[in-house]
Amino acid sequence: MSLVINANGLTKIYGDKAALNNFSFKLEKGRILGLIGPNGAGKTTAMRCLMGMATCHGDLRVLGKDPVSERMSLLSDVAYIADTAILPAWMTVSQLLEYTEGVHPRFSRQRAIEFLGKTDVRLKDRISSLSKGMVTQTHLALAISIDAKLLVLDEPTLGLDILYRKTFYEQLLNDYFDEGKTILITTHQVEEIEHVLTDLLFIKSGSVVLNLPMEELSNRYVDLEVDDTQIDVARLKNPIAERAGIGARVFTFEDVPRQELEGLGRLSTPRVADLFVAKMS
Amino acid sequence: MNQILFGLKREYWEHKRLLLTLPIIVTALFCLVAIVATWQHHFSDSGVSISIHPDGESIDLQVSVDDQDVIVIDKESGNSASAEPSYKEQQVNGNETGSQDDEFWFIGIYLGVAWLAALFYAQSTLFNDRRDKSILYWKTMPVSELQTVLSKYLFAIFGFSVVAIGIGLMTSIILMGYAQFVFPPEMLAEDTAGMRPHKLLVWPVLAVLSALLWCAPVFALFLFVSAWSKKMPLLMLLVIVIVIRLIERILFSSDHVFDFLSAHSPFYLLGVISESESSLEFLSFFFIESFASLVFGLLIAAVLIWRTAWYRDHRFEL
Repeated sequence: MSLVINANGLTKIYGDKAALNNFSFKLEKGRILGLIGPNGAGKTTAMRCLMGMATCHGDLRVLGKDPVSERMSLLSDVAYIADTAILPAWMTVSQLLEYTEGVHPRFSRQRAIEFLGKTDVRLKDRISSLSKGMVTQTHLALAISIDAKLLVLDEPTLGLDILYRKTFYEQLLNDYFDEGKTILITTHQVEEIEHVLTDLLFIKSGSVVLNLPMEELSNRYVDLEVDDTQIDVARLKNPIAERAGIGARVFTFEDVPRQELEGLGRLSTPRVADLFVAKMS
Repeated sequence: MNQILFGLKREYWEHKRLLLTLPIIVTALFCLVAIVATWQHHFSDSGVSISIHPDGESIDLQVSVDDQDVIVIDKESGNSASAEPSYKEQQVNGNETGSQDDEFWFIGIYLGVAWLAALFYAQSTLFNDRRDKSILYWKTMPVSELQTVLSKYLFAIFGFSVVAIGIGLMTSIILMGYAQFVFPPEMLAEDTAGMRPHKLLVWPVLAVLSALLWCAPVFALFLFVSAWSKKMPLLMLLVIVIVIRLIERILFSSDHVFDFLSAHSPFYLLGVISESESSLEFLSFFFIESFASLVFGLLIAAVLIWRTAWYRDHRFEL
């Protein structure tokens, strides 16, 4: 497996606050990694370091390149959506495509037009006249029309309604992703990307809290739903979190064999959102 | 190279309105003057015309109140006086009333407003894309910040002036055609009020090419403030210049920085052109007599442009 991202001990300090604190992870080709963290956890800083838009201490290689010193070369192989509202408002969609085609060696204008043909966005439309959802679709059209090896999405669906968010991820999987491509996504809407992720990375205060492939999730984490009679027994097993369920208490366990918990209540694999809350609390 | 060319194209798309507005206003004013002159000619004994006195000394505007009296206004002092009969005679007979300056003054007005717009553009362009956050999009493209800054520098100097010169040339052709159509041949000078179309192009081209080098420190300073400033770049620019000037005056009782910036402004360049008797004299002033200042200015501009690109790379958020 070839490494697309190899980050070791990344540290970035603003004033007296560490935005990244010994942040390390690896991402292999053909994977979809969800970088998830609360506000101010360091997600955007990490993204910008990966894109060479910010410098940081530590060892970082993206597609085998130094993101800062080889940024121009790296950007030819990477598509990056930094936010939903950054496309220049004065431009028309057609101008946007023409400019991107002019400066990006791996951009296919035809592919972007085909993609936009499935939406309500027209080429003569000015960006300022589009709804937020249409701007996002336009930006996504630009991103997926770049034959990039790595697609980086920073809160790509922020502020969009659920229909747009659902369509966005469907299009991402159907029209863009294949085994030769790699995607890195940050988002707050954990539930919506759970089914598309292959890897999970939780970040808190600039440090990695959890880093594991989705297929290992059920091996390492388990939710135990118990009635009132088993609550004290469950607490003795050292759960990492406890929450209220419907008529029951739910405990989340880490690296505890399922056999030890069987008989106490109903076992299940935790949802990513619940695991996130458990790890952050 | 492609990155810079598409950078220029992008600037054109974004600032098309600003590019066209001022030259079109100037054209409208010229047309208005032409219409007033036509009206005066046909319906009144009075007349208004703009010309240069053949003695080359300072007369800009001439108003004939009736077909006997001519009032001339001194360009320097603004005083008015009666013209000498010989001059009046020349006007009436349609003899040579223009000098080489005629070509320049006509197109010089276009260049002046173009560079005014260009300076306004330079102080705001790198600030605006940080304010609307579109810088985050531009940064995802494989275009270096140095390429971005250079394309904006070239656009400020070339983009505005080329469009203004184009509109100015078209206006001159239209006005000359209009004059041929409206006025009797005996009223027109040999080459239509002293303006020779082929010469309309010589001075502007020299001016624009010279500005690329001579005015580099001023445009680079404007771009630098645009990239550096966290708010109101125009105000910051004024504050910087005033503070530097005050500090220099208090500490050294001199005014070198301000003088340097004034001398490298595009308007100073226009002034030098107006005083030059030939293109050779003009070129020798900038590239021989002021060679040291030119080289120093280019060094300052290089440092400022490099620093501007650095700010774009490292401090792009407001």
